[in-house]
Amino acid sequence: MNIRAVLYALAFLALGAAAGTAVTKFSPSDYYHRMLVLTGDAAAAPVYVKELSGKTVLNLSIKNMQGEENIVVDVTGGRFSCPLPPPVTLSPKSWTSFNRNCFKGLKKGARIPACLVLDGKADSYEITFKRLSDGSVIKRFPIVKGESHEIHRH
Amino acid sequence: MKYTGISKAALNRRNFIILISALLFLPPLSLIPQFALEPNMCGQVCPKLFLIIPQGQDILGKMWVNIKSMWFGASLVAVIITVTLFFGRLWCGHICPVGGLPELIGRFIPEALKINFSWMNAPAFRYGYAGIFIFASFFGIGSIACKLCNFRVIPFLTGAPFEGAYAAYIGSSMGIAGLLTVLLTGVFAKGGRAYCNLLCPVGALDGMSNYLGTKFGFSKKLITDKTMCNGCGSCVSECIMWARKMDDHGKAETNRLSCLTCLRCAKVCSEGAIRYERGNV
Repeated sequence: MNIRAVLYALAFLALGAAAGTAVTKFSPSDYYHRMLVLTGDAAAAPVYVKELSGKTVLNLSIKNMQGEENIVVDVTGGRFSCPLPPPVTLSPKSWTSFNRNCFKGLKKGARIPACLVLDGKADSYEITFKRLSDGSVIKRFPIVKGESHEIHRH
Repeated sequence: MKYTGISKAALNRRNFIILISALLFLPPLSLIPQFALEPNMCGQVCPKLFLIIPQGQDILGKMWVNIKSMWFGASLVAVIITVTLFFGRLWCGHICPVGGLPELIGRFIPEALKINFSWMNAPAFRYGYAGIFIFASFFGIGSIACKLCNFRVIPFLTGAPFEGAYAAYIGSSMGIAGLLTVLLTGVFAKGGRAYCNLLCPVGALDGMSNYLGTKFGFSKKLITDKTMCNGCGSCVSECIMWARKMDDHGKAETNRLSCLTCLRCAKVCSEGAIRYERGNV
């Protein structure tokens, strides 16, 4: 192995590390990952986003930690969608369904992938999870402008 | 053309397997992720996020929590690396729909429109990038995580015609950046595998496993008989991973950290100098 090949490899190792570091800094103001944990008191800590002036996409991981099977989602100032069930289901029994604004067949502890698109025109933004059976609030998350210290984990 | 042990049927079979795995792993069918109750390759199926070394106290404990919450993806990666060690790059080269689909679509793009990244030292760049992917959080410089992740963008792209949640992602700045990554490092890249070659941490681990497997003779590898090689370079231009290079004596050789064992080089070699087998020449 000659010294030229080693230097060439080291240069590209540094280039790869620099490209990776640049990607870590990539953080657009219209897209966020957020985890919403459905447990405890109805009043939850706010979901912080840096900007709320334009259209904003929140990619949500919702953790159903309180075991309610059927949940209604109410959103103020946005549109909520969930890719469950997929168009072709392998086992209909195991699947959570989402229709209009209602989840059915949720399992305790399961992660629910969802997407919330805020329109940027409302005065306030909020997402509320309620029990389908009696309409009582499970958890309410106000979405406000501010800095988040959340660690991304599915 | 001399017989090299590689038939045209083997290449067609590889294309067919990629298409089948796209149906199995990607929306709208996504039959395999459904075992983990996930509609795409994120969440419990994510094969990348658990690799990140977290910051702060109890690092091993936090990693274990990540492995448990991404149990399907972690198990998948463990199986991929073990299979590669003993049987070669079956996942990256033959099954992975995230790498394979852009490669197949890219075949319909004229070569003149493609970006040639083959001047790069791909293994060095890949391990530099993978090092940041794994250690960025530990050193407190942020996280690559889901940014520019083809395991997210490609399932969301295939699911977008069917589901608004996917379409909303593709319409955001992050989705557009991801889409550009798929186009520039996939569909419009020479060979269609620049993402796999430069940016995929699973591919980086798999490449190391393949290198060790071939070094210790567990798995088959491409062996070039340099006495037969006429230095025409056709295998170098055919290689989708830019793993074939000419050595100082004008003979072609394979970098096993990058080689996907797609066998295209062996197929185009007019001298029959490249064989796919165990052992050394």
